[in-house]
Amino acid sequence: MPDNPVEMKAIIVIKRIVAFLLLSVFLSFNVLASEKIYVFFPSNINSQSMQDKMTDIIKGVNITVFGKYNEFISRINSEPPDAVITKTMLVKEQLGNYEIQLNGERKGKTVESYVILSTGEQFSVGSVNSETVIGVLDIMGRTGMSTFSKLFFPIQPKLKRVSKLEDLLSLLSFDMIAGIMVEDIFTEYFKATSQMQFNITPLKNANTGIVAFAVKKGGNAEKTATYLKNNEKRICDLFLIEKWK
Amino acid sequence: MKCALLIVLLLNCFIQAQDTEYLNSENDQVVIFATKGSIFDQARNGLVNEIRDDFSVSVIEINENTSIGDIDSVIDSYNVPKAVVLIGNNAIRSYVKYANQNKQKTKSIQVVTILALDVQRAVSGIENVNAIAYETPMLTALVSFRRVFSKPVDKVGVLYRNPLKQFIEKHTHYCAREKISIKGIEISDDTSKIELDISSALQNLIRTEKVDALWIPNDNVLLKPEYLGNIWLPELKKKKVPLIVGVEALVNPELNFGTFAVIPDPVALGEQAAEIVYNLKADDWQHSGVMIHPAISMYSVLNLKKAYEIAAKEDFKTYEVSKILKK
Repeated sequence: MPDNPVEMKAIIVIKRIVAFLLLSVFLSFNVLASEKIYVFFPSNINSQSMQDKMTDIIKGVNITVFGKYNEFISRINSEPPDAVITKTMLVKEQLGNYEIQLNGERKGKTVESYVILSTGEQFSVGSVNSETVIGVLDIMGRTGMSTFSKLFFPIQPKLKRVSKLEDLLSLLSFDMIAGIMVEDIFTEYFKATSQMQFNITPLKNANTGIVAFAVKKGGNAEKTATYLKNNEKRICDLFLIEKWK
Repeated sequence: MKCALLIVLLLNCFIQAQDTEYLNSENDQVVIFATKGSIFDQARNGLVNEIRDDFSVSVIEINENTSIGDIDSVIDSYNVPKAVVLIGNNAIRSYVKYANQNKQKTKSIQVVTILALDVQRAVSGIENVNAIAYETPMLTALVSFRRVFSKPVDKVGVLYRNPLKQFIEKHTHYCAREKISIKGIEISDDTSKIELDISSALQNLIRTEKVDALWIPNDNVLLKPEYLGNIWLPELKKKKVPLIVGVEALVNPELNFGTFAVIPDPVALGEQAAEIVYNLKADDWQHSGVMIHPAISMYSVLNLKKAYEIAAKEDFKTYEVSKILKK
């Protein structure tokens, strides 16, 4: 340590300046840190393609698209994002820390209905029993999907959960299930993909939200919200909607 | 000193990680015997992530040193588990040997197997088994190809040897439901004739039958490197026919062979096995006999170079492909 008081004073000033600069860099880094958005929306588009398209359009936002429910939920718990884009019922049932700011709309509605696709004999909800096996896209995990299916069936069937739409077709093709329960929007996908003759049975009590943009409570995801509100077709198409509202 | 302690601690964690436990004495016990390796680890993780909250789970690594006595110790230590899951052919072989010598002890244990080649043969000798086939179902591969390329796939050629005859016949029936006609040609096992057989079969399928695609089952005899070089590649050079295969290495652009690969997803196989475990529990662990399930979830790999030979870029849906190999 220097003995000269002037030198000591100079050192103190320099230290303060350095500290101030470091603090400024730290603060500015936090301000400039990009929003972190997690997306989970099972469809016929694989998660990597969806992520590439979204990242291409929504600049300056850190977007991760998940292909599986388990991975999505696990990451939210370990590294919570600023916001999520996912099925509405998943936000409402399992993501209590997130508040819905925008809902996806299709043909003037923010809700959609479910159907059962089957082959062979016409499917009947009344004939479902505890041994009936229904294939479903895993949107809410084992317990969540079980609870969800109770909305439609007086007697709870067994569920075979899969992560991808095409896996549901495999279940039908190999006669492993009585039918597949999907959002009605996906009926055309199966008709286009398969040459099998499908029976379509609409399900009652089945209006659930299409997709939601939900922000962490007390948090902020303004940049993403702004992009979504622009209702760019390329983004809306990824979620099979016409606009966000 | 602190450094040394840290190293010892890390080593201890590593050693313990080789056998892993998620124990809860109130839950039914499931023991997983697994071979080490990337795809086996992925399948194991898929399975464990699904069942660890509802079952008491132990993971035991099987290797060349694992003896019948080792397996017996494990079974005894968990007071005869409700189910064992065997991952890979080595795990199955070890368990079959053990079960044959301990029929009384193992007769109540439900067995689930995944990632085993020629699973029907592999599990013969096990009484209560649910096995997931590791081969890509032909139908799944063809529908997947048709979905990505949006091309008519009305007639598909298949070369196969006798061990796969039953598999091909069964899946020909499934393909008919998708209006895909299978033209299969059986290839002799006679090594003096096999090259000629492959050559004439390919000529027949490509030039006479004019198939829309060829589906190649995983057969390391038909796909021997010398046959690839001397017969397959020269014939396929003359007429561009898409090849749909079940192994990623065959769509490597440098090999210039396969167009599109459809392969069982190991993580999803683990998850499919988890479903079976839950179903067994729901049925009070009462399943008997041998049940073989087709693998449901696949991932696809596209050889972009070969894809351009049969279609323009705008004619195939890359967003429906899991992985694209460019060069």
